[in-house]
Amino acid sequence: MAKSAHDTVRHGLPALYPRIWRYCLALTGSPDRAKDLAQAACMHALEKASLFEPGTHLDRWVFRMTQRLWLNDLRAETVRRGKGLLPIEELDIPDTRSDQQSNLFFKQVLSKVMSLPDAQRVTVMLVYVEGYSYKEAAETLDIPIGTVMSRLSAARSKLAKTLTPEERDAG
Amino acid sequence: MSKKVDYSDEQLTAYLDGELNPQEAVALERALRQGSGLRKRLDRLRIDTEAVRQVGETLLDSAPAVPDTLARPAVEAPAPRTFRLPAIAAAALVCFLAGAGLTKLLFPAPEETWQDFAAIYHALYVANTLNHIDQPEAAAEAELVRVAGAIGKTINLSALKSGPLDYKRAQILGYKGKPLLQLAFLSKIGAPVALCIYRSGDAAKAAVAAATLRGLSSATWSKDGYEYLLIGGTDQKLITDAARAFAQHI
Repeated sequence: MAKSAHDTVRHGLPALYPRIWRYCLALTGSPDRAKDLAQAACMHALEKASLFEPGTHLDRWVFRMTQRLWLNDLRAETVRRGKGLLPIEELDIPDTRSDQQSNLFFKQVLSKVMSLPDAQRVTVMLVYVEGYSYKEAAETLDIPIGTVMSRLSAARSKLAKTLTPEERDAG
Repeated sequence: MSKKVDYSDEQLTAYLDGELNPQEAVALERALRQGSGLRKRLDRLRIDTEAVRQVGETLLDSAPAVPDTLARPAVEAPAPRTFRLPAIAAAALVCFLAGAGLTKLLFPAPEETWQDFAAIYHALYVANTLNHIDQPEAAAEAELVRVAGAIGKTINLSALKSGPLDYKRAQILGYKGKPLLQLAFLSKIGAPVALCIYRSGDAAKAAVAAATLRGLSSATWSKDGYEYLLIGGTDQKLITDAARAFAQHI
């Protein structure tokens, strides 16, 4: 028997949670705010579970919902309370790499990506980390494909100086 | 004087991301061969997307624990996700692909064919994927017998080694529950090339036809109930010529 929409969402969210948090990190630029947003998004997803269409992609549905939640409600509230976006130096994410060189490289790449403007950062996350096509990213972010292209193009220009394969080899 | 097309950074980005359609990609590649200015602009947009992906993967380790509010009753095992490509669960392929492009592979548009999947998979290959492979002849023979046997074929190693491509290895992938054979080569300039063979059961015969898939040169043909795809690099003549030789000898 096919699972209900609610069951599909409820059963799918725990496995999806780390990716939701990662997406929230790209949206908010802060691990703590990402945690708050991820929890809020999951609660929101459970409340709206009856609207989910089983057979479609739960990750895209949740990401789209998370994006709206952040932009429409929480972001404005965070800024209003004087908690603007944190400078990148305050990001303190432990990495699990064993050797110092790859730790350093990890931090450099993360720092560069997190330094991108919000809109570029979240688009980079969807396309280069989540592996979404332009069309899928556009639908998730509720923007035209052309905007996805221009965001990625701008992000590539900014990252190119430090994220070329040669830089990576040099550590 | 030939007509010049101005390419925007957005179009160049789409090319690097494999998002141009085949005709657009071919036209852009032609323009790249004609002038160094465009090549420089393209190079200025190149980034190590694999590094970004890896950092993203590592970030998952830092994710906080799943909140209690999401905990579900322990009596029921999580339902498996429904993938369009069940046979792709072949362990080696999943390990190799973990992360990069996997979402695209698992959630393709409905109209995509096995050749599209093979192209997406092959787009992840770099020279270093195959460079280290140097099998003794007997081992390569044994591997080929085992792998080709999975689709009911016999392929002579000599037929793979006689052309301009350096044969590396054979492996079994899967598509829609049926084995998909992949024979991997490196071209003289180090471009990974794959010959993929899928038993369609369709007796229709089709001659070698060139195409561009995911920005890669490719050629397809079919005969005796098998469909063939040769794909890799951007040298279409090399691929078409090699495809014609394979079509004759395999």
